[in-house]
Amino acid sequence: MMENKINKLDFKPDFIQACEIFDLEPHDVLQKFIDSVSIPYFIANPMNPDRWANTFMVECILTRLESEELLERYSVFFDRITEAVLNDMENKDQVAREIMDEWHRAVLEDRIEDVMKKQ
Amino acid sequence: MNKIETEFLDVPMDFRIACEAFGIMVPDFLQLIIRHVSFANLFMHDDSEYDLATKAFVQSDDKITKAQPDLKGKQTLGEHGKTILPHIRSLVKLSMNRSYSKTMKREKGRKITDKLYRVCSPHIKHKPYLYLNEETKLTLTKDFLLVCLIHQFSPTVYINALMQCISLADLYARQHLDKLVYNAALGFYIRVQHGYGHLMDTNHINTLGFKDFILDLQEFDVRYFFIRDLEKRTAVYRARLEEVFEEKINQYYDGE
Repeated sequence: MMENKINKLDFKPDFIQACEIFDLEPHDVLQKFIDSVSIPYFIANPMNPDRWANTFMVECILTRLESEELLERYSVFFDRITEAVLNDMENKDQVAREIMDEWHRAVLEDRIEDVMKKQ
Repeated sequence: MNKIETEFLDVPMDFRIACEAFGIMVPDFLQLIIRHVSFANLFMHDDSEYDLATKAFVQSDDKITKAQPDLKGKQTLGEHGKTILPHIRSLVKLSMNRSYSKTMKREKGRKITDKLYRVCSPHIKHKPYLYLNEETKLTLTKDFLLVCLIHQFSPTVYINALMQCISLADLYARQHLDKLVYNAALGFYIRVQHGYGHLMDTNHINTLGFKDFILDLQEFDVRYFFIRDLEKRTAVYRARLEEVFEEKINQYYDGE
């Protein structure tokens, strides 16, 4: 689990207002969002009625995909996920999860390498 | 590359979806774009619908040549050059005249085109109309027939090629992957979709089916973000558009 930095979040008045009127804990609302995010599941089940947290997450991802460098560097992962989905593999979400785990490791390794190069 | 039908008007599914999903009837759209072809606009450029319509047909040359390089007609106008060239020169001169507005240029251009048509009409073998089906007739204008003659394509081939240039799957895949290219046919279509020519059926726009269709379309970019290849993205969009069109829009037409 990643370090919880929720106390450092800046709650806007409209968010607090909605929470207070309807007696919601800001933490619970955010936790519900976080629990609903699963990109591998979304990739495999894009029409799931419970997809809204994932669509919001992908909206955030799309802004990062404007970087040509990122697209080139990790094109192999995009291609593998595409292949898994288009070929209608069984356990698509499992396959997508495995590819994203590999992708995650590759990103972390690249970041370590970048830091090392700068030193 | 899709084969271009040469004998009859062949409405591709992508084009039908682009029109009917937005409440535009295919014959109405085709008649509007044909009526907007302006021969004079081959020699000038502006941002009008006339320019888009004319360039749309000319641009589809590429589609025809790639699909069937041997489709170009054999007829040439070289031996009639003496009678034709003066009119072409007048059009070129008109296009360079800076003292006329774009509308005036088009009007004067139409008069020159009429003269040119009188000279060329004996060599035009095509009838001034085409049938989309047994009941639907499209009228072919002088300007359109001249564009066909000069570019050596039959009206059927030209219209079929033009219809292949209009696809929502291609448009949105390119837009979402930031790979848009100039497409005059699509430009004309988008103007019609935005209200030009008043072809859209407003009753259709208010149906639940149309709203569901739009909602689905709006999610395409998010739903398929991981597909970075243009061809694959277009294919996925096409499959989904066909599915949602059948499910949400065709019901409306069937229910009429």
